[in-house]
Amino acid sequence: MSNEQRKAELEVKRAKLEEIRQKKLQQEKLRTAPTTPMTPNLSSMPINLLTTPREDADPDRILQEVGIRQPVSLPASSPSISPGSTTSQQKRRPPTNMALQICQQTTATISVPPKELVTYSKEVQTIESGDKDPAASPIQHDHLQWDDEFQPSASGEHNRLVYVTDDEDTMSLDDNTKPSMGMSLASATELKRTRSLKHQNKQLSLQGQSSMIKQELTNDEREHIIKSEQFQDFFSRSSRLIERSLWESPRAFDIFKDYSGRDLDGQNEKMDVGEIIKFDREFFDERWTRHRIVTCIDTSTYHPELVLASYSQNDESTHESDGVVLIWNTKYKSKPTPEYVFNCQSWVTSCVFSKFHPNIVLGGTYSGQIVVWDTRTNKRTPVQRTALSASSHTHPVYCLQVIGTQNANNLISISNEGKMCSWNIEMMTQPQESMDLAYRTKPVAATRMVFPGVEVNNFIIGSEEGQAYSGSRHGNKAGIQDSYEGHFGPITGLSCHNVNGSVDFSSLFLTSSFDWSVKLWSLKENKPLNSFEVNSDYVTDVRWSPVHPSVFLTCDITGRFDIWNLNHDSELPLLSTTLDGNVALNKCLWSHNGQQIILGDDQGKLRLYDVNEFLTNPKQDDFNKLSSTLQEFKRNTLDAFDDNHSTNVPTTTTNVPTTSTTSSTSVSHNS
Amino acid sequence: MTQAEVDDTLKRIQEHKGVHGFLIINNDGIPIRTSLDTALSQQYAALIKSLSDKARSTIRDIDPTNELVFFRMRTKKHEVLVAPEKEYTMIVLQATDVL
Repeated sequence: MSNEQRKAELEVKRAKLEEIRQKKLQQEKLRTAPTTPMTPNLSSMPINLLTTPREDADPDRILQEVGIRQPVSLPASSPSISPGSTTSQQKRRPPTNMALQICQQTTATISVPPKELVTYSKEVQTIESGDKDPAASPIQHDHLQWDDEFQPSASGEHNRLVYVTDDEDTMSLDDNTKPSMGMSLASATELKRTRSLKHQNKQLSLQGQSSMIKQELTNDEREHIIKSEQFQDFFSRSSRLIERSLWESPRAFDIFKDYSGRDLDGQNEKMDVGEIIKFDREFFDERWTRHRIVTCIDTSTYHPELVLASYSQNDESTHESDGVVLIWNTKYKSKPTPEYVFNCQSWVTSCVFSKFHPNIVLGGTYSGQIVVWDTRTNKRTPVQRTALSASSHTHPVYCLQVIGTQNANNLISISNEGKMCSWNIEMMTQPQESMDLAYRTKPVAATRMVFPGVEVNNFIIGSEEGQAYSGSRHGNKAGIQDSYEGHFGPITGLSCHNVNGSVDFSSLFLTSSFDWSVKLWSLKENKPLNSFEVNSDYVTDVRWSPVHPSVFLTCDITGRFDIWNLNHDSELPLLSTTLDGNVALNKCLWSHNGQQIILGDDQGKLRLYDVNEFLTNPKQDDFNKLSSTLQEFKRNTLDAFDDNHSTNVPTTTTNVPTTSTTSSTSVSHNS
Repeated sequence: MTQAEVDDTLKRIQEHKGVHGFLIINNDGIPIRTSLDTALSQQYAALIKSLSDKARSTIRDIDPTNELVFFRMRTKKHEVLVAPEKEYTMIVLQATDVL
């Protein structure tokens, strides 16, 4: 509408309003009756707003004139006026039953959120940095993060607290750690990755508790985790647990069998009375022991089920390390793998458990180094090594022994050059003392050494020339004192009598040598008491039984091993067995309780045999019998001396031809 | 242990008589190495992880100085061996009717 039109309309309206006013005045004059309740608001009105219409005025008409259309007239029941609506007119209700025109309008809802009131508490505004409980949903720390990947390892070496700033690019590491730059970069990326993973994980866990959707790790991340030391530690522990339980499971299944009357397994089988030894098991590892010779065996005093064996180098494969030492476990009957594998650079000629440290394994090598392994660490390489210097050994260390007591113990080592060193196991950088062994100015090339019993001072040495020597470490006459001549070849085995009983035989010792014989000596005599010559090849080792005074074990290079009982027969072994195949036995050992024998051969196998009871439980008269046997020997020696007028050792009977699995039935000497 | 030895040991475990498969998961229940298919691995990872946590907290609640080292679940069809540790957990499934 144009302006002029509007003005014209306004004029018309004004005129009409004047008319209405006048009419009203007239009516009021006429009526003196009750006034209408409604009082019209005749104050200044805006143009578009109409006042209360008169009863006779047609509001429609007026409204129409103004321009507001009333679409539909609704029954005057209950008008609904939407709140906040600005489009519908708000009218005062006239008292008459005028049809109320109420229209339906669509309303637009606008919701305004309540104004957020930010308040601050008056306490200190720092973020807490306590220990995070990994099970609970973690609070997100943007400034301080104790990364799970860098939890301290068992030895506590890797304590690190990494500070991460918001931009995630700059990091500073704690002063306690000294990582190399490369490692810190790698760990930084690791940290970023784990942080991002953790963020994602937190978001997921917030969204759904039982959500099965987990983040996948990329192959790279997996590789990285597997290479990490944490994982290696974990893996060596848990794989051991799993392997042991896997191998033991078959026996565990027995408890689930539901038929009754089952027989006992063969585990509790007793040996027959006539059977002296029974094959128990063998230890062999395809990777580590193939083509290697067993050079030394030892059993642990702390854990009698552990057997330590050292092996020579593997000529067939050059990439495997030369020095291998394995610890086998006899407790788990079926597990074929070693408990621990240790390596070192040159092959190990002798090995021993430390008697006073349950986790230390010592090895003497061909290069003259002595190495220390620790079973607590998960490393395969030695934790300590002696220096290759003139003060320590430069020739192969053929014998190691730990002597002393729990508080004051030493490791004694002897090498081929005739040097004997004593070491403190905690500090192996240089020997505590070293001594060159020489007999009458001639150096002794030692191959064997034994400290009888719990001796710390006096020792016996076997040499390459065939003599045995006794000496002492300290005292007036430190060094070699006596020599025991008798063998014609290098001494390969030396064993001191070590059974506590009614009679003390601790001055007896046995030697075995390349000259096909085994000789029995007493420390007091320069000549052997007796010589056992049933072997027809190099005898490689001899061992007294730790429980029976008159029993000993020998093994030789043809694969034959003999068990002797001097009380039974001093000329022939009680049992002589030759192993099948072309095996040569290199080492033999009794277990600590004397109930098992362990034989090491040149093909890397360890064989264990159970020994019959009568050889492990000595009777009281066994000791006396041995005494009388020794008397017998003495008499024989003297007789031979008289007969021959020579100082040679009397030789006894002819060689017995070797057969397999015979038990000797010859008449006993001493009955 | 090198990577090759880890592989060797895992191979040995897997080829043991009756072993269905193994699974190594980390703290978040994500499989690191597994010989099972992905879906089964995920399932086992999530379920066994929560069970292992529950078992560990049970032991701890009964005696705070004690801790869970190993547990096996013998079911009709197979046996589940679980070796939980602080950062990782190793799970092996073994059949029961081997003998």
